[in-house]
Amino acid sequence: MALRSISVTQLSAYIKRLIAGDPILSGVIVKGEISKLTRHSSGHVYFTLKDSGSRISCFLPADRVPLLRYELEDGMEIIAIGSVSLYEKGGYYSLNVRSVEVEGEGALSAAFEALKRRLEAEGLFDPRHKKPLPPFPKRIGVVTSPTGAAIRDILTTLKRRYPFVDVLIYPCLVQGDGAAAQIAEGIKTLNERFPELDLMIVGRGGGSAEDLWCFNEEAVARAVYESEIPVISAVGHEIDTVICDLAADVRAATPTAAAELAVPHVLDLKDRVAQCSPERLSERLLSRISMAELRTEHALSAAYSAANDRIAALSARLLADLRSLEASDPLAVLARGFAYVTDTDGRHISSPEAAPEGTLLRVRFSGGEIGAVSRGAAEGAKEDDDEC
Amino acid sequence: MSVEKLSFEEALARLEEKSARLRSGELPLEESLKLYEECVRYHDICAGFLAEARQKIELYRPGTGETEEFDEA
Repeated sequence: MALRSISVTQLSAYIKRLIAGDPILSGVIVKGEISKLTRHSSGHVYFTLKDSGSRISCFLPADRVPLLRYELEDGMEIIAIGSVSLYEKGGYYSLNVRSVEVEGEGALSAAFEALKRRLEAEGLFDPRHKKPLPPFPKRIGVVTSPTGAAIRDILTTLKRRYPFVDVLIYPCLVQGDGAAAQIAEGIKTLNERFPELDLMIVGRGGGSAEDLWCFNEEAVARAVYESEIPVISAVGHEIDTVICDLAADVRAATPTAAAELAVPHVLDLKDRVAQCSPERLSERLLSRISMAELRTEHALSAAYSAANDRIAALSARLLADLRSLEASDPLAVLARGFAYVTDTDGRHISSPEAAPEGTLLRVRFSGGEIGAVSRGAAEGAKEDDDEC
Repeated sequence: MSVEKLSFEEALARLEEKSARLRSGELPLEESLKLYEECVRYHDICAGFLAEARQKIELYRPGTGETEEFDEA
């Protein structure tokens, strides 16, 4: 008896049609733990979702991978959303995953650690890549919600500390689906359209781990890393650390702290400028000038008194010389009553022999001179002397 | 670059650098006086910058790619 058979392909096609036509299987939301996760070089991701009773193969197409909000890892509890389909060549059915949700702190922190490990290995948090913040920014970009607490805190702080900086706000969602894409887009847009910005602050105020999650998504981390403009990350409160913080050039504990890190304080600057005020600088200069004046005066008076001393010494010497000259002046001797006797040729007569009797003489007194005739050796005079 | 066009940052840097040189007291008095005059100019630029608050807060419109004044209220 000839059995009526169908081909394997025909059977598979039939089962495929059955599955595809089922309204439940075309849109399932299934919870389970990831195992045997494999990233294929094509970009597709394969894993098994299991619970205590059974397991199902899962397939995440490459084009969905960048849209995933959570880094997947073995052992992670997830909720996968997708459709069941038959893989005819392999002869098995699998879950074609469209998106993944994560519930609970454990799963979130596992996703955080997994992404952190991968991006760290890739160098996205490398301190050598981090850019310094300019000390006196002229214009700052802020990527955040225009209605949140963060922008209020940032603007208040900037106004209080440094009311000379312009601000450009890029408005975006800061939580939920699509937020990460908007934040990343904001960072890229500011870089492309406003490259003159000195720095940008990316962040939001406090919230639950789920609220802050968009700052843990790969798209944000990459945009921050690739930003040419230095980025300050300011997400939530002190205790919250997100991937965005790690990729940023500077991490601020809060949006207020980010604004404080972004600009100097006007009072500090006024103080610095006052240190160099003309009054301060001239104090020392004036004392240097009066010192110089004093020195000039001293030098002048020293030179004056040295010159005076010299003049006095010279005058004294001159006077002494004069005196001694006077003493040896024959005319001065005449003034004391002596006379000076010469022959008519002016030769000095110093002995009686030089003037025998009849010699014509000239006798000079201090008052003038007379002519005289020698009477020879003066015996009369001797007689007179004898008489005495 | 003319002194008047200097940014606050540049003017402050020059002010502090020249003031320090002036304070060192190692220069001849005549050079010090010239330096002092420069310091006064830089000081006036810095003090002038800090004297008056001026800030423009703008909001970018991703849809149109335009910016508008941000309403802080």
